[in-house]
Amino acid sequence: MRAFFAVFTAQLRVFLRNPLDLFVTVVLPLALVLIFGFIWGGRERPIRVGVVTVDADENMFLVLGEFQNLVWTRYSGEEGLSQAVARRAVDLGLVWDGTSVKVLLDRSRIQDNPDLEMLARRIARALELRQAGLTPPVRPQKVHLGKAPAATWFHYIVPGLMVVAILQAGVFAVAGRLAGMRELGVLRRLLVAPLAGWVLLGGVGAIRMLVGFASAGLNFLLAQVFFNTTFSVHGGLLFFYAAASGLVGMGLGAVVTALVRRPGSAAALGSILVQTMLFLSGIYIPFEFLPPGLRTVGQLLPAYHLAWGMRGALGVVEPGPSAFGVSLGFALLGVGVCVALGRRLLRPGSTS
Amino acid sequence: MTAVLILALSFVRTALRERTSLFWFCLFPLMLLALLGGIFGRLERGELELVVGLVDLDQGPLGRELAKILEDPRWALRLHAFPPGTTQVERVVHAQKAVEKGELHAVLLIPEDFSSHLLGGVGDPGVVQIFYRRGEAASSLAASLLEGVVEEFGRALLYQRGRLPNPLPMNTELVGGESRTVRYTEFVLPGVVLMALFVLGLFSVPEAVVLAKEKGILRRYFATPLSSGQYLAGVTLGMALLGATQVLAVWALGRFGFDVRLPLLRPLSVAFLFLAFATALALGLLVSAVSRDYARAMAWANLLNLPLQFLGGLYFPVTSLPGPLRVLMGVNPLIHLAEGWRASLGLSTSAFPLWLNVLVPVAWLLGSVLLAAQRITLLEGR
Repeated sequence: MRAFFAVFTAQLRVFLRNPLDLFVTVVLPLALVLIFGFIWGGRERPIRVGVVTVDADENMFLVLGEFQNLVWTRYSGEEGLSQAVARRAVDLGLVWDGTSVKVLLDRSRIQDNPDLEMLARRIARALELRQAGLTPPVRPQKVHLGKAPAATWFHYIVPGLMVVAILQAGVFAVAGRLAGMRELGVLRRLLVAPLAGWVLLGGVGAIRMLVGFASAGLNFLLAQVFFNTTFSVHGGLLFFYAAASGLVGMGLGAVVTALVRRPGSAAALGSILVQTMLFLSGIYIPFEFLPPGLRTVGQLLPAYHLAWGMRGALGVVEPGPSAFGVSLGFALLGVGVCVALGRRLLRPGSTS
Repeated sequence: MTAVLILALSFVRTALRERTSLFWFCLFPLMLLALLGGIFGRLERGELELVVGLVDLDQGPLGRELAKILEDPRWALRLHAFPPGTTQVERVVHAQKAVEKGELHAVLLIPEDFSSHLLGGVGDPGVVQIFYRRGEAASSLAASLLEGVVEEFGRALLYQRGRLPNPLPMNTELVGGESRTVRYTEFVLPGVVLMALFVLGLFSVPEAVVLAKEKGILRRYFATPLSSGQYLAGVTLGMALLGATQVLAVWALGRFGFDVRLPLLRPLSVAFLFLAFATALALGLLVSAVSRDYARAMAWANLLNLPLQFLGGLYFPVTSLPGPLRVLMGVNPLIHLAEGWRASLGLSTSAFPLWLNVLVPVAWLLGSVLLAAQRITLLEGR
C-alpha cells in the first residue's frame, strides 16, 4: 500500500505541474458545458419575433400574447424588419397587412427555419381564428412523460458530458501518461523496482480518475448553478455509471497504449476516440439526427450506453435494463483489457 | 529565396509525415464537413425518422379523420405498429412506456368521447393529448409536428362546417444574402475552412517557434547562414502551402461530395480568405509569445480553440447570447471572418458592418505581431 501511495503522490505532483493535462481533464469539460449551454441553450430562451402590422390592428399582438416563450418587437416597416431578420436581431419576422401574413426568415438559419416556420404557421392560424371570432375546436395538450418533472435540453446533455469527462480522464490516464513514461524511460526504471504492475497502473490511473470524477461533479454543479437544472439523483446508479465510465476509459487507454508507442500519438489517438464517441453517441448531436449507418456505429460505442444510463441515474429518462447490462459488459471488458495489456506492457523488458 | 523554399517544403513534409498533424490538419476538417453535411443534410431533406404512435380510444368518424391527416406523407412521421391483438386501453399503457423509454418519439391520444364531443357542438374545445419527452430534441420535434396535425384537423373541421370563410394566405420569404436557397453544406463549408486554418495557425506556429526552440532545433538552424527572417518566411510559406491544401481538400469534398458551388474567387472572398490565414498565423504567434514552454503553449492553444470556434458561428449561426458572451463574440476574430466571408459569398447578410468584420481581425493580427516582435526570441541570447 505504501508503494501505491508513493506512486500516487508522485503522479499528483506530475499532474499539477503539467498545465496541458490540467487543462484537458478539468478546464476543457467545464468549458464545454458552459459553451454548449449558452450557445445551444438558445432552445430554452424566448423566440424573438419582429412584427409589422397595419395601423391600429392589435389582433396580431393579442394572438402573440397567447403563445408562451415569445417576445416581440414592433417595426415600422417591412424593410427594417427584413434587415433585423437578416442580421439576426430577431428570429422571425411577421408582416400582417390585415388580409395576409408574410413570414420573414433568415436564409442562413437552416436548422432553425423549419421550427420557426411551423411557429409562424401556428400564429397565422390563431390569427385566422381570431379574425373570424372563433376558438380552435380541438386543443392539443402536451404531456411530458420523462422521469424529470421539467426536463430541458440541459437535462439530456449534462449526463453525457459527465460521462465524457470521466471517459476522457480514463483514456488519458492510461494512454497519455503511460506512453509518456515509457518514452522517457521512467517506466523501465519503475518496473525494475519491487513494484507490482497493478500498483503502478493504479497509482497512475487513480489520480486522473479522481480528477475525472471531480470534473464530472463540477459539470453537474455548473449545470445547476448557471442553467437552473435540477436532477433527481440515484446514488447507486450514479456511482455505477461513473465507475463504469472510468473503467471503460482506462480499457480504451490501454488499447491505445498497446497500439502506439509515442505519447503524442497516444494522446492524438485518444483524442480521436473521445471525439468520435462525442459525435456518434448522442451526446452533442441528438442520436436520432444521425444517418442510420452512423447510428449503428454509435450503438456499438460504450459512450452511447453509458450516457443513456447516466441520464437514468440522474433521473432524466427511464434507461431500462439494457443500458445497465451493456455498460456493465463494457466495464468488465475494460478491466479485462487493462489486466491483459497491463501484464504485457508492465513487465520488465517490455518497455524498450 | 532557395533557403525559404527548402524550409517551407521541409515544414510541409514534416507535417504530412506526422500522423497527429495529418489527422488534425487534413483529415479532421474533411471528416467534420462530411459528418455535419451528412447529419444536417438529412434534416434539411426531411429524412429524419420520427416514430410516433396513435392511440384512438374514440374509434368514431372524427378520430379516423384525424388519423388520416396524421398519415399524410408531408408530416414525414412514421406510425408505430402496436402489437396485434392489443386493445386500445392496453395501447395507452404500452405507448406511455415506449415514450418514457425513448422507443417512441411521441404519441397522439384521441380520447374516447372525441367525435361525440365535437359533433355535439359543445362550446369547449375537444382535447387530445400528446405524450412526449420535453427537452429531448427529436421527441420535442415530433410533438410539435403532432400539434401541427391537430391544428390542421381543427381548421379543416371549421371549413367543413362553413364557419371559417376564407383561408388566411401565408407566404414565407427568405431574407439576407443573395436570393437563392442556401443548403447547410454551403453554409458550413466556409466555417470548416476557417476552422482548419485557425487550428493550423494556433497549433503549428507554437510548434515551429516554441517547440523547435525548446528542442534546440532552432539553435542548429541558426548555426547555418539562415537568418531568423528567412526562417519565419519559410514557416509562413510552409503554412500557406498547408493551408492551401486544406482549403482545396475541403472545397473538393464540398464540390464533389455535396455539390456545393460557392463563388470562392470573388475578390472580397479571396481577401477574407487571406485575412483569415494571416489572423490564424498571428494567433499562433500570440500563443507562442505568451508561453514559456511548449506544454503551456498547447494549453493556451486549447483554451482559445474551442471557445473561439463555437462563439465564432463557424457551424451554426450564433444568436441571442447572454451579455458577457455577446462581448466575447464581438471581439472574436473568427465570427467577423465567418460573417464577412459568408456575406461576400452571398450566403447571408452579416450581423456586423463590413468595416468591423475587417477591423477586428486586423486588430488581432497587428496586436499579436507587435507582441510577438517584443517577446519572442528565436534563439537564446539573440
